[in-house]
Amino acid sequence: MKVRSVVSEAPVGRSFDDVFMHEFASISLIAGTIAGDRSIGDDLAQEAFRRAYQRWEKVSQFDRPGAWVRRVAINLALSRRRKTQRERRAAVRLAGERPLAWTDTPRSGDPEVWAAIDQLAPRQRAAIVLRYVEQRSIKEIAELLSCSASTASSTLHDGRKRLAGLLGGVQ
Amino acid sequence: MSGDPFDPFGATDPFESVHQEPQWEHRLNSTLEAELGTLQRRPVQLEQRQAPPVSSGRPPTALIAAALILIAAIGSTAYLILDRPSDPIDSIVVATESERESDAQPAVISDPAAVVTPVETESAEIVTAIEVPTTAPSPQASAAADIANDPGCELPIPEPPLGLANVEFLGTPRYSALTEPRLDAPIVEALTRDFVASIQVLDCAIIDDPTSGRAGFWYQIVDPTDRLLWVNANYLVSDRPFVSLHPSVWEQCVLGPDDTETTREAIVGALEKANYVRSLTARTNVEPGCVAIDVELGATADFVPQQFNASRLDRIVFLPGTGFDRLILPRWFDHVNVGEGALVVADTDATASRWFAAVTRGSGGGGEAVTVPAGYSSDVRIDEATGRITLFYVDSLIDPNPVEWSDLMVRNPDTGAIRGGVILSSNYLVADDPGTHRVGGLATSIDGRLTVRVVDANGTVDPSVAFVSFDSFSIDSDGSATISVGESSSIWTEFLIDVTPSLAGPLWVEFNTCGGCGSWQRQPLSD
Repeated sequence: MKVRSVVSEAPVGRSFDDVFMHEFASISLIAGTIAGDRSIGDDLAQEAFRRAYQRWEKVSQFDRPGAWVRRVAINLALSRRRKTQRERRAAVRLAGERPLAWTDTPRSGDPEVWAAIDQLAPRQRAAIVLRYVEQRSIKEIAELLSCSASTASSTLHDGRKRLAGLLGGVQ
Repeated sequence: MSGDPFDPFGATDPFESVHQEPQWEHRLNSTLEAELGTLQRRPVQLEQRQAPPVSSGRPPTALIAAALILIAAIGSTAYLILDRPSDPIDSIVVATESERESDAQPAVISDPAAVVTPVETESAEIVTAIEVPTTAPSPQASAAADIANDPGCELPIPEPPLGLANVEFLGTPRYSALTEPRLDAPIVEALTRDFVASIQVLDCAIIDDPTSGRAGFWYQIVDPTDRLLWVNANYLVSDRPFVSLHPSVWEQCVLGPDDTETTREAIVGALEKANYVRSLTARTNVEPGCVAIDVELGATADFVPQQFNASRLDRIVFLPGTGFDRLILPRWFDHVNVGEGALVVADTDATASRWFAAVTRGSGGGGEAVTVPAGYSSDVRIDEATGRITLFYVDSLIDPNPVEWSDLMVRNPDTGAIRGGVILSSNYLVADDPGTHRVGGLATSIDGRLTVRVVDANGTVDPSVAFVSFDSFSIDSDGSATISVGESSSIWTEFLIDVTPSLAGPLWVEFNTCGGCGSWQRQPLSD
């Protein structure tokens, strides 16, 4: 596997502003990919940074404060997905047959690739982005997804396998 | 080589290997790069506004205006950060997190009284956003408004009780009327602490009998990283002055197909992060008053102790012979009885005043059989061949009077060792996550303190042990650490122990909830 994109975390000791400016885009991408919508990624990244700001005195002492923010954003995205599913069901139930419009923000790149990514399980999406965009190791992915390394490995493996199938690669 | 093109080196990190980038991977890389580039090229504005001091009472107009300005400045989500930690702030209103699906304009705060109490922090006062009406409601909001306009659904909304900041009601405004001022004391207590971020009311899901006026809702508590700490159900009673449920509301609350799905989802949501369960299916009306939950365990490879997460309170421990190790389930898996088999179930109510456990006798575990209290006619069926477990439990509404248990431990009767790194006692539940030594405990403290220390086989305290994760612990000079949990309260806390090798041999972590008085209870630390 070739991973080309490189997004590094801001080093320890950087100010909140530095971390925000340095890593907001990447964290937004992670959250937006999980959520399936870029604008939601922005919202979730903002929320993650807000929580970091609230605890910056503590978070800034972590070896990788950006990792903490990522973890928050990932958890938020996963939680939001469940929430959205509930809300959509509730809306359909409450609105009866009223059609609902869900408009996602267009994303850059190949729409077919995004369509394939959107078919992955949320945690698989997270693993894919962490690996391909940020070059995270299995250990780091496991930490960010709050799971064991073996689970992270299998999650990533399954995600790649699914993508390959959807995008015309090896089944 | 494993032969798997996606895992050519088997158990090794496959991404350390080098192989030619396939076409699909090239497309993936290109697309992600393009999206990241787009995001990076956008102007990012980081803006903080210092708000005027607020003395008391309702937020002044200027403060609201500041919030609105901030909303306009940064988009659909806005938070107001007050850099005046020294000023007493009774209440402020902050912002909105408008629905992305809507074409919402900057929010209009129509009800300044709808305030929340800020969470105190060391450096700033920040209030979690509360949703306020938008000028262009989303389809969900419109649908919710339809319900809200139904006279039968006009519920008196109580004043937010003190300490219930961060109570986030999901779903529709209908549920906001289900504010429970008697949320369990430890929950309220936890809200004041840094490690609990919010309570999210998931859905109205259970009722007992419409004529009795009792409704229930699920709620979950998450930590600052949004990691789920607790999923629970709570109930409303109609004799509460703020609850006046109309039958039409009950109709909405009846556990139906959708709500069953919600229930299932809530359970799965609590478990999916740990990959413990492949599927859960909730079925109602299996028998009067009962809900059946079909639990299908995941692959055994995913079902290993190392995934144990101490942040979840309820556990089912599978003794040897089942082919499984352990499973954590939300607390409403109450009162589960077992026959001759190999299942242990433990549960506590929100105040940790009672514990339930059932240890099987006979095959595999050879543990002590514990009779589940009469009245909780529950059952569990295990298909060891398929891994499918079906739990039947009686909703606690049937019998709200718990039977108190105490000092019940899950032990291997042959060796005396505590099974699975889990201690069940009347006071606390602790668990050690092997490898990280992350230990959590639910403590009911006599004097409001939980003290933790690490000792060796001789009882020698290791003064070099480091406690991390929650700095609300105070480190004592003797190598123990203490956290204040408040008087007469129970609270879930979690901490990491970095054990240095200054002590030889097996180590234990010991807990004391009365400031050093009485006996210490211990749990072995895993390697």
